[in-house]
Amino acid sequence: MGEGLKIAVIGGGSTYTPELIDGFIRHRDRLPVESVVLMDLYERRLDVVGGIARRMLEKAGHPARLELTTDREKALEGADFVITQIRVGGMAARLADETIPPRYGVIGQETVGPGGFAKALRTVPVMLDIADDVARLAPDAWLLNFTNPSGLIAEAILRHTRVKVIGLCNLPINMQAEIAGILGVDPGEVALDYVGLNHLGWVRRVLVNGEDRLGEVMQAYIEMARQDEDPVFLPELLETLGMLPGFYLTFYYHHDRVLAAQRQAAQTRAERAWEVEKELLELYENPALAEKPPLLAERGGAHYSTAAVNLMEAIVGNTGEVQIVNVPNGDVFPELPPEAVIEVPCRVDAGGAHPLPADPIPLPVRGLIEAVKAYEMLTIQAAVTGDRRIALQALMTHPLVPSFEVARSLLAALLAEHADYLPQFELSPVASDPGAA
Amino acid sequence: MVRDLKIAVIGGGSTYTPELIEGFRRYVRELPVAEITLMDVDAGRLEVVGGLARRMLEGSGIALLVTTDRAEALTGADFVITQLRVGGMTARALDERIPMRHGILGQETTGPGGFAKALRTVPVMMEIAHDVERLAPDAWLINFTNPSGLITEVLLRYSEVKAIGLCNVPINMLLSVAEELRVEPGRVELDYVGLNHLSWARRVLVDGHDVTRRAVTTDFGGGFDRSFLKALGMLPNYYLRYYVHPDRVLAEQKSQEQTRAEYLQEIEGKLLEMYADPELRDKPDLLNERGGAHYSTAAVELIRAIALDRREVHIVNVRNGDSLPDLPPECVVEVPAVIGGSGAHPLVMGRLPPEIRGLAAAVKAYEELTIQAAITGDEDKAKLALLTHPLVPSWDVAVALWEDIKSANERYLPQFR
Repeated sequence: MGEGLKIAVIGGGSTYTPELIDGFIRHRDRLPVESVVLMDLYERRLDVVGGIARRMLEKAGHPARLELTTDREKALEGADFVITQIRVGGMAARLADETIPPRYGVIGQETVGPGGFAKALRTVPVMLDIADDVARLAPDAWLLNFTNPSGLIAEAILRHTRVKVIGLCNLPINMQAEIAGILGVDPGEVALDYVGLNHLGWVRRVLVNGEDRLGEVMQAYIEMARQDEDPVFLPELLETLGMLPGFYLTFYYHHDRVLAAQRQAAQTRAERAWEVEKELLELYENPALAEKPPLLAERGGAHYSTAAVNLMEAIVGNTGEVQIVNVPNGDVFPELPPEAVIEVPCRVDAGGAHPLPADPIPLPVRGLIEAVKAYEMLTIQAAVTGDRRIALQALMTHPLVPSFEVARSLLAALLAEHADYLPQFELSPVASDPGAA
Repeated sequence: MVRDLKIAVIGGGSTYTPELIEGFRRYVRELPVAEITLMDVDAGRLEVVGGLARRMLEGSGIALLVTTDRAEALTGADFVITQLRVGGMTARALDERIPMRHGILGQETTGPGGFAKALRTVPVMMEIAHDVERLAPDAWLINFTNPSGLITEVLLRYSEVKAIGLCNVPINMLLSVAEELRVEPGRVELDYVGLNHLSWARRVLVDGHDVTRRAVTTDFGGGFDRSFLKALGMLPNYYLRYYVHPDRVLAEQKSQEQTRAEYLQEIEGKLLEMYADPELRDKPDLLNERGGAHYSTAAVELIRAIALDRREVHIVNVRNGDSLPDLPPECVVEVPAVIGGSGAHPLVMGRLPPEIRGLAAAVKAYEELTIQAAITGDEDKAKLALLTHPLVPSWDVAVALWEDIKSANERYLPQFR
């Protein structure tokens, strides 16, 4: 890598971008960023988000050059890092992903279950296009993928391209920060023994100076759950499980409660996020604003920049720091195929992210991990081939889809809804499915 | 040929026994059985079933003994067949009823019903295994007791007994496919993988030629939606219907006045009446309705393969080893295995396709947790086992099921006291 780094952000018009810029500013001493290119399809958004990004860098006196472009090739050429944070179909598609499954008795969520399935089908072809461009224009670049479903997208890129990709999510680093807060120690002192897939992970040990303090942490979460009228996880579940599940496990363990709450909610998560985005963009337009506004934290991307910047630092500095990221299984867990992408602690250096040896997957979570991974592999195949039969197999395999009949109805509904974004399926216009409850 | 094999049948008072006896009678020239001992805790039933069995074997050269003493039955046995039902049909009826209260289908081996059955059965099977270790250490234990794969795994993990798990699903599948394709069963080979009551024929071969695409369009049984079979492109065994079409099954069960157990209780009553007839010397046709078709063929051919060291391929429940690399080596799987004098050696079947791998892995994890719960009496493990089961939709349902199952089965679950 030359004097300084060129960082290309695909989907740079995202309202998350100021969070990322803030990370570059905070870590300027350790991460020599020379240029940041924000690329987005939407010029108007790019102008607004680019505007605040520029003001943030200027105010902080950060020397990096900021470029805005709608030309992906231009953005990628010669990049050292490519950060992808796109949303194919935007918030409207997300809204459909969240509202269609509940009609069939399944929770609606943008990355979990049938909603995440639809998002994957829309996103994989675009991400593979981007990866092909990276392979051509920046063959040595690291692609850091934040695009959800993050683990599945990373696996698609690893299986179908030669790009160096690492899948990233802010959930592990958020858990680390929260747990450090509970224990009253610095997050840097906490090492999580974390096992699973992206959005399907569990903390099974909390090591502080080599001592496992999971018991204390679990007690704290159980106590918090007892105080909470509507806890993410019931205290009895946490006691029985004896491990700390990541937030998204609530969609599995408490499927009935979440579904009931979703059916009663006045607003979906997408609608709320949409409102916040509009407010954020209004704020970003203010030429006096030169730092990320507190409202951005509500958007859900807390510590997102820390995760990204830490990862880049470890690669650039060849530090060998341990971070929890999404990488191929290799021979870590014999139950999973070697090519399957898992989310586990990895040693990160100039050669990439290398998973640490791990204890076997605990029995109470093994079945779910294997089932969701099988679903992910089929979803990737369906997204790449546009084969409707494989798509149906994928949905049938998903643990939250209760029967073949529901899988078939959901597939028809999701394909019809997203037809514009699913060219690979060569869909002819179809009537919406009559099986919806 | 020296006629010297001793067979002990634990649960010999079962109404299935005449089916088994008929098998030994059919194979009398090939398989040198000297005596069959039927053992049961129910002396009355043993007398009725034993009476018919004795009449069936008259003139065959095979002696028929009955006893309520397990040690007596096991001493010196070469093969021990286990076919018991802890709690009888009453407990089974509850296994079928309780899940329905929680919106889940009721089935004796699948789902929460199978879970309850496993918890009741494991302690008894362990007692039997310890008796076999002591009294017939060289014997082969052929397990038919359901859930057959799970029980076999318990025996292999926690005892020294040489156990092989058997089920009539594979042979029934083979015969029905052969019939649908109008070929001799001997020409049909199933590329068969999975767990007991959770298995698939990945491919169907006739004379070595792949005819899977045709086979999945036939009426091979199971009541699956045609479009499902087309999407899957494999032959699922009929127990998969409980996973593929659970809502249909539950609706059917709710519309029926009787559970399957209650219906079978009636049939069993009629069968026992028939068996008591001193003129009856053959298994009555009604027995086929009981559901054990070809059970004797599977059992007797397996015993023959071991006793005569025939090294044939049978589909049985064995320790996985390297057969299915997606599953742990110590777990029990239902796959083709070479059967000879040294036991069952599974063929290497390779990675499972993802469209079936997730379910197989999830159910196996459930089975392992159920085994741990049954052995230790740890309630947390019991709840986690239910939570892990693909048919249990949430933690709340898992906990409610556990409370119901525990109280309904209290007298059969000493390990949880």
